[in-house]
Amino acid sequence: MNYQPLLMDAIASQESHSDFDRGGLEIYQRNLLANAARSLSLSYPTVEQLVGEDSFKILSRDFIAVTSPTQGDWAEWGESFPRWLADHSIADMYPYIPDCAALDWQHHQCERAGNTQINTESFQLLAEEEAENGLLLNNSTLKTVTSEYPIFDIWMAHHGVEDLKQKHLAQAKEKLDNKTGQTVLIWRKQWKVHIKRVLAPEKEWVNLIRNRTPLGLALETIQNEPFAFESWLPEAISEHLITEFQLTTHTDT
Amino acid sequence: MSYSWSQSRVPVGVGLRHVHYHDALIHPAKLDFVEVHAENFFACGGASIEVLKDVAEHYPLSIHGTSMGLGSDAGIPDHFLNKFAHLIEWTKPVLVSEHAAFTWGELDHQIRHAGDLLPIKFDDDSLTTLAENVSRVQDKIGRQLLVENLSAYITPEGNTLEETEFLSALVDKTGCRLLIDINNLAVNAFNANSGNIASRSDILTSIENWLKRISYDAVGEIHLAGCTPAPAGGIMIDDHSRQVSEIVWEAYRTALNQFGSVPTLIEWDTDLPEWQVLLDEADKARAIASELFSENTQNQKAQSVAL
Repeated sequence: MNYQPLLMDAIASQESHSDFDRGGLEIYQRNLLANAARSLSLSYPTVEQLVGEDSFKILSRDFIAVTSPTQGDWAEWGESFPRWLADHSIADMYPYIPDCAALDWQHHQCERAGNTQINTESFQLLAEEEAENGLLLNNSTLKTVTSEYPIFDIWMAHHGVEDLKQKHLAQAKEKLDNKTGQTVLIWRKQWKVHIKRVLAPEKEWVNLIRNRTPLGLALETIQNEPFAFESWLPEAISEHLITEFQLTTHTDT
Repeated sequence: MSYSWSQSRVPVGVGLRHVHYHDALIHPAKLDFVEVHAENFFACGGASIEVLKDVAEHYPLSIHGTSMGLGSDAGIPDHFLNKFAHLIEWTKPVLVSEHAAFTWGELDHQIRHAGDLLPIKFDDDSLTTLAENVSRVQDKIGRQLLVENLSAYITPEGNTLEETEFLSALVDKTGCRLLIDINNLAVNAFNANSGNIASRSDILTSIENWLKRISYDAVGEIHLAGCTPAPAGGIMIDDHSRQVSEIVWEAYRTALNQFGSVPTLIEWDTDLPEWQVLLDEADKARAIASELFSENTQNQKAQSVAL
């Protein structure tokens, strides 16, 4: 093997290597582990708080041993961490951790996503006769995470408003005992990432929008569900959950 | 933001890190530029990009890459270079710099990133690779790149060129210029003693000898930093966690004498101090430069009177 890949391999192995000075190699090896732990702690702050700093360092060490960086930007490294955690023994003890990690990653990605343009005037077209064929466009940063565990309450217990953390923690414990899952929407309004717990009807509605279902058909689909479009719409507009209303012709659909 | 640097004085800047954004923006300091790390602004959008736009309204920017791996035999992936070039395009920095290091390598048929700046060999093959990559980057961004000397903790086998010879040849081949990191020189000089205690004068002599081998017009920027002292018999790590050491200040005087009014940056990346401490370090650099060039001007006047 040539010098460059040989050195990279020696650093990644975390073992001594006859071709390289031991002390120098150890510096690079320690630096790699420190960078990995720091990077993952920024991308997965909830997981770090759940398992504690020391355990998190061990997890990041084990993770980088099997998942080398490929992007040159530490912020982009670690996408597969939730799946890796699901196969890790820690998930036997804390089975909600992989889904908490999935939420962390979506939050992290949302922070870095491209900015969204809001076409507020377009919502006036909802009053038009042909509005039922139109499309509500969701915020391009919008993502959904669904879990069998109370990931919203766990997240809020660690990152929410200080006064409400205990309340969310108690709710999370109760839901864990009751095996109650949660679905979370994540999106960015200007520079701030929002997360919101949604119940099944709103989740279904958001999926209809994300699948570019014409408004009339979407309303028809959801009509038997306890979902109030009239109250949802103004909030969705003001919170930038939706960014535009597009009228389409029949040939467009 | 438009800018103009007077040729008669040394432009001095500081590294701007996350914890200082607020201070830097609320109370804009009298700095000639601030340096940010390129990769911290590779996101497509969001708060970090908006902060950088605000910073660019107040200060000329220097964009300093820390991951590109100009010396990588595996080359620089397009996806990385495109992000870097996009950043340069919209920030329009006064300086753009990267390192004479490798970061990319092919392992198990996959291009991987080392996550660190790793030392390259100083030989003809490595020079060719580095020159090709530097030229590619310069072509892509449409401007000159400054290439920084590295602090290295291992020495690759088979070096056939001195580092200064190697970097000078790079300048000749590509038209780039050098970013001389004086603390990197100090760290390398200390560690070259393999655990023996290097005397202050030994280190200074080593740095000065290194500087002497670089031509006057090859240098486009100087970095100054401090780092944690090495444990007894141990390796010194360039952690940018302290004030600039006296030995580096002294070598800085030598460098300014040799290279003239070169833009100078105070680097501080870990255990960050109050913003004011960085500004004080910048003031110190400015004072040294001012004193030095004032002395030089007076000496020149005295010489011309004597003539």
